[in-house]
Amino acid sequence: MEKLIYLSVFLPIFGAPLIWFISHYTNKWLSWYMSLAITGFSALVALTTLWNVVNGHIYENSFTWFQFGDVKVPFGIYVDGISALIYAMAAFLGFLIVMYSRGYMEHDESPHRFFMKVTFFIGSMLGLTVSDNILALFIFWEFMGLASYLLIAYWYYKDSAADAGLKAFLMTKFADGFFLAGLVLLWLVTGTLNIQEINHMAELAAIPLFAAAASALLMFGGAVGKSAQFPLFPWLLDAMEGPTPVSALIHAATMVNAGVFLVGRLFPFYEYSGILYVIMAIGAVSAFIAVLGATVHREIKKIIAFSTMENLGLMFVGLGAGSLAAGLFHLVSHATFKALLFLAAGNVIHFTHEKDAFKLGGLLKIMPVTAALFLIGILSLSGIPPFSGFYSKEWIVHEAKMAGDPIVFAFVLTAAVLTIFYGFRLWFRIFTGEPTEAAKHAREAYPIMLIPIGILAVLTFLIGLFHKQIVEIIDKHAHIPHDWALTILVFSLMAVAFFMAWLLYYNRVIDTQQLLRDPILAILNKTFYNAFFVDHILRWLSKNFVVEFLAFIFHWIDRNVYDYIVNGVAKTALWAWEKARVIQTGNLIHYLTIFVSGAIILYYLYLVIL
Amino acid sequence: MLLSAILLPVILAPFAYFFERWAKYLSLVAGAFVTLIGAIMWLKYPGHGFAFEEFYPIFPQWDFNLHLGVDALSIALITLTGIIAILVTLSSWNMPRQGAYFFLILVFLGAMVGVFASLNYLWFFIFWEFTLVPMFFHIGIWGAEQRIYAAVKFFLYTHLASIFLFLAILLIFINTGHFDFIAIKQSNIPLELQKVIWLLAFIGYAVKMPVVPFHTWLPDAHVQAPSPISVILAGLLLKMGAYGLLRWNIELFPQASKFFIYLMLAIGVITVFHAAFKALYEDHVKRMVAYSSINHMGLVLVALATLTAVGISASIYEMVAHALIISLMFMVAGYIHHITGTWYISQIGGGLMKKVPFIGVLYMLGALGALGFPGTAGFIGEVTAIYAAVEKFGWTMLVLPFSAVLTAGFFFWAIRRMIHGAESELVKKLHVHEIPWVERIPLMAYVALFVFLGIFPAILFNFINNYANTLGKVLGG
Repeated sequence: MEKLIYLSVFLPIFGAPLIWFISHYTNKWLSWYMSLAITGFSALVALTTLWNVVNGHIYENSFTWFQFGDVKVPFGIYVDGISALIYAMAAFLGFLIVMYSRGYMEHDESPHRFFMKVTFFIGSMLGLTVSDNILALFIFWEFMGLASYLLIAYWYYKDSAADAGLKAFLMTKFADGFFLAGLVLLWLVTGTLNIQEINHMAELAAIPLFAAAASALLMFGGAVGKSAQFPLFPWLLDAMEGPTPVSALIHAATMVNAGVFLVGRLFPFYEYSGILYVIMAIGAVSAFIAVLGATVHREIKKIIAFSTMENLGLMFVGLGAGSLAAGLFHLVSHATFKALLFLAAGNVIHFTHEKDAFKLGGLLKIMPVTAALFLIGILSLSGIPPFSGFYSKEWIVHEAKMAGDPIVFAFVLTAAVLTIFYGFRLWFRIFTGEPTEAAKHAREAYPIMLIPIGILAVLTFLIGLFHKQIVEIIDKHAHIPHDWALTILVFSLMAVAFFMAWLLYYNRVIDTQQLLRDPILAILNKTFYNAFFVDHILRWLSKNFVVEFLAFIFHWIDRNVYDYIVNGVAKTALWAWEKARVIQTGNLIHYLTIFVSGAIILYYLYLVIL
Repeated sequence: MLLSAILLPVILAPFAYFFERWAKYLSLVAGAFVTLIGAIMWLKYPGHGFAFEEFYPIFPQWDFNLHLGVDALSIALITLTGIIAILVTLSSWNMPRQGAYFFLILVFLGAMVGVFASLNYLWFFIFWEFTLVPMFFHIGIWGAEQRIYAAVKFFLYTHLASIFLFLAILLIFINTGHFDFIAIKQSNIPLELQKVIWLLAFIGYAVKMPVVPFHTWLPDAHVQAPSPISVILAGLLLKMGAYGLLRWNIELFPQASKFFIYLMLAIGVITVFHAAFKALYEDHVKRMVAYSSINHMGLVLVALATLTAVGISASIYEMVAHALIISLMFMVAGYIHHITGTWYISQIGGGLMKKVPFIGVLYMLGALGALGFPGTAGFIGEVTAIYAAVEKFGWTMLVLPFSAVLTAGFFFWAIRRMIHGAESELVKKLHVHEIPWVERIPLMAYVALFVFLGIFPAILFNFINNYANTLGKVLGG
C-alpha cells in the first residue's frame, strides 16, 4: 500500500509532462483521458487509504534521500487520520475537477497544456498531505506554488493573467522565504525533519521555547502566504484570472489548504510554541476583511474568492483557538462546498460569458440544475443544516467564543452572519429576476459538468450527516459541541441578514447603487471593495521601496563605487604611463644609466635585507 | 591518464586551427575524452586522498615538477569540465571562424583540466594563467559591440588579481622551498605569514569567483562574450576561483582560514544580497543573469566560510548546480538577444512565449533552477548551504532564503515583461528563425542534468561527502 501511495503522488507529478508530450503529438484531448485516468487512480488509492486508516492502519515509510556532510536528509510518507482525510479529499476533488474541465475547457486551443498543469498540481497536493517530514512537505508546497502560477497565468498572452500569475508567485514565494527560514531553524534546533518526532518533542517540551516560537512563527509566515491571510492575500483575489476549474482547484482542493494543513499537521508543536493567539488573530482579521469585501464585490468569482479567504480565516481561528478538529473539519467541509460553488459558477460564466453577477439574472429557468446545485453550495457556505457548513462553522464560532477574546469573537461572528447575506446576494442576482441579455443566450450545462457538481452536492450533505465520524478521524477525543444559546443567536442574526439580502436583491426594493451616493457609504464601499487597500500598499512597497529604493541603492553602489574604483585604478595607471613615457627617450645612455642604477639599488637592498 | 586529459586537447588544438571543417568535431572528441577520463576516475576513485597521481620531474631542485593528482573535488570538477566542453561545442556549432575558435576552446580545455589536476602550485598557476588567454581572444574577437573594452577589462582585472596569487605562491616558496601541495602542507609556516599568504591568494581567487567588490569585470565580460563563452566563464572559469580557495587556501592553511572566517562570511553575504538587488534593478537580459551568477557564487562563499563538512559539501554541490543552471540562463539570454535584436527587457515588452515557446519555457526552467526550486539542483545547493550557514553562524543567516525570493522577483518579473503578456510591437514584427536542433541539445541537456541532480542529489553527495567530512574534521580540530 505504501508503494501505491508513492505512486499516487509521483504518477501525476512525473506523468504530467508525459501527458503534454503524448497528447501534443497525437490528439490534444487525449490529455483529458490521461489526466482523468491518473487522477482517478490517485483518488482510488487515496480513498482506499482513508478507508484503511479509519480502520486503524497507519502507513509509514521513510528512506534517506541523500546525505550531505554528515547530515542525512530523509524522504518518506506518514499517513495518519489527518493526513489521510485531506489526502483523500484532495485526490477525489481533483478528480472531479479534471472531469468537469472537459466541458469548461471545450474551446481551448491547447487543453493538453491545461491538463498537464492540473495533473501536476493535484500530484503536488497529494505529496504534501502524505509527507512525513517538513522538507518534503516544503518541496510539494513549492511545486504547488509553481503549478498555481502556471495555471493562473494560463492565458499568459493576456496582460491581466500574466500579472495575476506573477503576483501569486511572488507573494507566495516571499512567504516561502519565511517558511524555509523556519524550517531550517527547526531542523537545526530539533535535529530532525520528521513531523511526528517534532510533535513528540514538543509534547515532551524538549525544544527550547524561544526557538520553537520563532520557527513556528516563521513557518506560519509561509502559511499566511499560501493560505492567503492578512496581509498576503491579494494574490488570491487576482487568481481569478485563471480558468474557473483552476480556481476550484486552488481554492478548494489544494493550494490554500496547504497553510492550514501545515499548522494542523504540526499542531502539537504549534500548541507548544505558544503562538496560537497570533494565528487566531490573523485568521479573524482576514475573515473580517474578506467578508466585507465579499458583500460589496460584483464579480461572481471575486465574491467566492473573498469567501474562500474568509473561510480560511475561520479555519485559522479554529486552530488558533486550540481546536485542531474544528479547523481541519472546516477545511474538509469548506473544500467540498467551495469546489461546488466554483464549478457551478463556472457553468454560469461558461455559458453566459459574463463574470459580473449584476449583469446577470433570471438564470433559474434557463439553468435550473445549476441553480439548484449553486443553492446547495450557498446553503452549506452559510451554515444551514443539514449541510456540512452548519456543523463546521458553528463549531468555529463556538471556539472563537470560548477563546475569550471579544474582538476575535466579534470578527468571527460578523463573518459568520454576513456570509448568508453575500451568499444569497450572489444567488439572487444571478438566478432570479428578469433574464438579461447575457443570460438569454445561455443554456443548461452539459452532463459532464453537472455530474461532478452533483457529486459534490451529495458530498457536502454526507459530510454533514457523518460529521461525527469525520471528526473522529481527525481527533479521536474531539466532538462537536452543542452550544444552543450560540446557535440561536447566530441563527437569529442570520435570519436578519437573509431578510436583508431578500429585500435588496430579490425584491430589489431599492437600487443598491444609489446608496453609494451617500459619501460615508461610498468611502466604506471603496475600502471594503479594495480589502482595506492592502494590495495597494503591498504594490507600492514592492515598487517604490524594494525596486526603486533598495535595488536602486545597490545599483548605484555598483556603478559609482565598485566600478568607479576599478576604472579609477585603470585611469591612474594610464596617467602613470603617460608620465613614465618621459623616460623612454630612445637614448641608449639613458637606459643604461637607469639599468645600472636599478641594479645597484637592488644589490644594496639585497645586502640590507638578507 | 591525467596528463593525457591535459595534453590531448592541446595536441588537437593546432589540428583544429588548420583543418577548420573538423574543428568542432575535434573539440567534441576532446570534450568527450575529458568526460570519459572524469567518469573513469569517478568510478575507480578509492574514496579518500589523492589518486591517479603522476609525477614528471622538470626542475626538481626548485620543486618545479608536474605533479598531477586528483581527489573527489577535482574529479567532480574535471567531469563537469568535460560535460560543459561538449555542450559548449554543440552550442557553438554555427560559430564563425571555427578554426581559431575551437583552437582556443581546446587550449582552454587542456588548461582547465590542468588547473583541477595540478598538485604543484606553480603549475597550477601556469594553467590558471593559460585559461585567461583563450578567454581574452574569445571575448575580443567573437564578442558583441564593446568587446575590446570588455576583453581588456577582463584580462587586466583577472591578471592583476593573478599577481597577488603569484606573490602568495612566491612567499610560500621562499619560506618552504616547495611548490608541491603535499610538501607545503607538511611544512611549518608561521601563522602570521600564513595569514598574509592566505589573504594574497584570496584576492586572486575572489576576483575569479567573483565576489563583491571584485566583481565588476564579470557583467561586462559576460555581456560582450558570445553565449557559449559566457557558459565557459560561468560554468568553469568561476569554479576555478572557488576551487582554488578550497584547495590552496582552506585545505592548505586551516588555521589561517579559521582566522578569516568572518571575512569570507561578510563578503559572501554582501555578495549574495548585492548581486540579488542589483539584478532586480537590471533591465539587461544578460547582465541580469550575470548578477544572478554572482549571487550564487556568493552563496558558495558563504557555505565555504562555515568551514564545516556540511558547508563544504554544500558549496561543492552549489558550484555544480550553478554551472548547469546559469549556463542554461546565459544561452537562453543569448537566444533572446538573437531573436529580438535587443538586450533590454523593457524594449522587448512582452509576448515572446507565443513566438518562441521553446525559449520561453527554457527561460522559466532556468529561472526556477536559479531561485532554488525543488526538483532542481539549485534547491539542494541552496537548502544545504543555508543549513550549513545557520548551523555555524546562527540565526542571522536566516535571511539567506530571501535571496531566493529576490531571484524569483527579478527572473519572474522579467518573464512577465518579456515572455508572458500581450505581444509588443517589436515582438509582433519578429521574424523567428528556428534554433537548429544541434543547438537545442545542450539546452535540453542542461535542464536534464540539473533536474536529474535535483532529484538524485545523492549521486554527487555520496562522491564528495568523504572529502568534505575529512576536511571538516581537520578544520574542526
